[in-house]
Amino acid sequence: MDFDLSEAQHRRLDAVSAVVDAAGSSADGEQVDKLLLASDVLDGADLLDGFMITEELARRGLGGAFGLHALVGDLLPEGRVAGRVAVAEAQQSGPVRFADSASTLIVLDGVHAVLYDPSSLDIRPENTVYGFPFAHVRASGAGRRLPDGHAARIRARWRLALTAEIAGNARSAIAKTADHLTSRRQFGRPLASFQALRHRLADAAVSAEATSWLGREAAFTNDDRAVVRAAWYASNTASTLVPELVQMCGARSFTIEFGLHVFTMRMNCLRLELRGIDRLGLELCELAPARSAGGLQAPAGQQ
Amino acid sequence: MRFDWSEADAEFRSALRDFVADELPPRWQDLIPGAEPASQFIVDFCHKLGERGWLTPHWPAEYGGTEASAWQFIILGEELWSAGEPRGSQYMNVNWIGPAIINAGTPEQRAYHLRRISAGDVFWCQGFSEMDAGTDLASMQTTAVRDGDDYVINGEKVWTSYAAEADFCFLLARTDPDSQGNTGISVFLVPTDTPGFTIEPIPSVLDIHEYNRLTFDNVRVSATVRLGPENHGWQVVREALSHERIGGPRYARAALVTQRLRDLAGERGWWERDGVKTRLADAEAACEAARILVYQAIDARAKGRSEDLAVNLARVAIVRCERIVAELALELFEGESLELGSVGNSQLKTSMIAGLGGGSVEVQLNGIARSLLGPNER
Repeated sequence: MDFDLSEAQHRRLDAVSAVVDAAGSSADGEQVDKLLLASDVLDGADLLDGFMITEELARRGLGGAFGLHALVGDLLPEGRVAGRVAVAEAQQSGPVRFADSASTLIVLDGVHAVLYDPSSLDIRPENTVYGFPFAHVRASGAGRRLPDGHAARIRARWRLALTAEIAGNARSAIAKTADHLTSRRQFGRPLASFQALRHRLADAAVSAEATSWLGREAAFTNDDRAVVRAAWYASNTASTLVPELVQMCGARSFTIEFGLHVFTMRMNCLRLELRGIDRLGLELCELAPARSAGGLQAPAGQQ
Repeated sequence: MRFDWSEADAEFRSALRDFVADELPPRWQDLIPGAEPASQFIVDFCHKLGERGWLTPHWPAEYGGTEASAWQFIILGEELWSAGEPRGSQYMNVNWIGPAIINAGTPEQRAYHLRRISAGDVFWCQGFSEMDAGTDLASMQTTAVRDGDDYVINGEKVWTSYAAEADFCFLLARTDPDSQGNTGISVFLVPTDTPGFTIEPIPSVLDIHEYNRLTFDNVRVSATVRLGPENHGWQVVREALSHERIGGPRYARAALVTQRLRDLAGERGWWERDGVKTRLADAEAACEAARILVYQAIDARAKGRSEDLAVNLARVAIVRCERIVAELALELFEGESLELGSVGNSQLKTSMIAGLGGGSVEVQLNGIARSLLGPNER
């Protein structure tokens, strides 16, 4: 066990930051994605590296697709057109994140995974306020079916990416709320002096912290059950944190100028993309538990 | 960053599991930790742990430890908590009373107490809370007045766990009558058979746990039982508790109960009830969240860093998981939960204690808030 970044992990995250910083503050998510895709920041990266990159990009408020690429990209066939990746469930209703700008759309249908390129899709962008580009898609041509087993692996990686994104957004949303509580004065004193608010923020911080660590551990072990559990926890965190943090920040939380929405609105749609705690809960219960004599659902190496 | 175990830690857990499997009768899996705080079985079991250095593995070898890593300390806790905690009330001695004596004790105090603790020969209780000084411990009023080579102690401590079986009490008393708050307090290591020291149970609905009232009526003790400098007991306790505020790894027990509930769900037709799978997922995720946050705190401890925030986060997560699991067990067993000794009843009582035992959870929330928002005295 070691909860600190190794030197190599530090260097990789520093390299990601350098690319993002070089893009400048006016660069949008798609522009940053292009620079990251052209860089070597993923060379030799493992799943935990991909998770931490995704988490960090989300924490910085970037609404790009590079995190998804970092966690899913190595499962896709060589020779595909470079660019963004979008993932959707076949039964999913509503628009798909990044579908308007992806070079590859992966559609998961139970145990099958099918790849589509934009030429075989009807794409209709949807205007939303969730901090990501969305589009409705309908296949107009044949896709490329991936070998058996790919669907489950891609689904797990997709969930890790969503967990990382929620973790990063949650961390920044809490920091933003803390800034608000310490600077905003009501009834002659800072909001941060009211214990009712202090405890609510502290409680939210526990959820955000556990989301990060459960996700990182799941990325490290790449254990099916750990991934679903981390996804469940992330989905639950997003659904409980958003109304809590909005309430603590008051009406200001709805305004573009304040900026909390960057993180809260993204958490709202990310948890929907995870498909909610009810479905994840069912799946977790139906996966055979990794038994441990101690009673914990032990990560690999602890059995 | 990595989340696997070193070879030494994995081997330690494996050896410990073998030992527990050999030594513990199956009924221990069904006991609530603390249900048998000091039975002869526990005394014998602790002696066996002590012989291996496993009662105090994190202590220096000269005092009966094995100088094991902080990780082995938590592995030991996880394995034993999920097996009904056959150390009984020993956890206080080994977790922080012993370390307090190591840090602040005289050579004579170390020589007298530490080997007894590491061998599992003695039980302790802590005399902290008073009727008007619980979470606000600095308001305590029990006094110890110097009289020649002795101190004379008067006062009352309440809600004291495990006192009936204890050989010694780790007592906080005010030695400067003019002091207020956390100054002017000293620590005393008081034998519970000292004349004038009485212990009586406080009746409660918590049938899984016993609380006691400790009364000190002109209890005369030698000044040699004072631990650390006079009037500086707060620092002694603070230092000792700074190394052990996670308490027992209660999430390990909650995880075991969750697993039992899942096993029973098929037999009892619970799967047909609305939301059971989602709530079991909630319980499992809550236990695992507590575990990973405790590991974060242990990582800080192993590296010699401040673990304050990590411990605060972990304690809140532990309370959450105990409450979620308890509530689920209570509801799943329905009317059976009313029976004393039932899983539902025990879990209800566990959840009632969860946010209070070892300190109020609000103190942990205050600690987290302080790190996010700064102090609230504005």
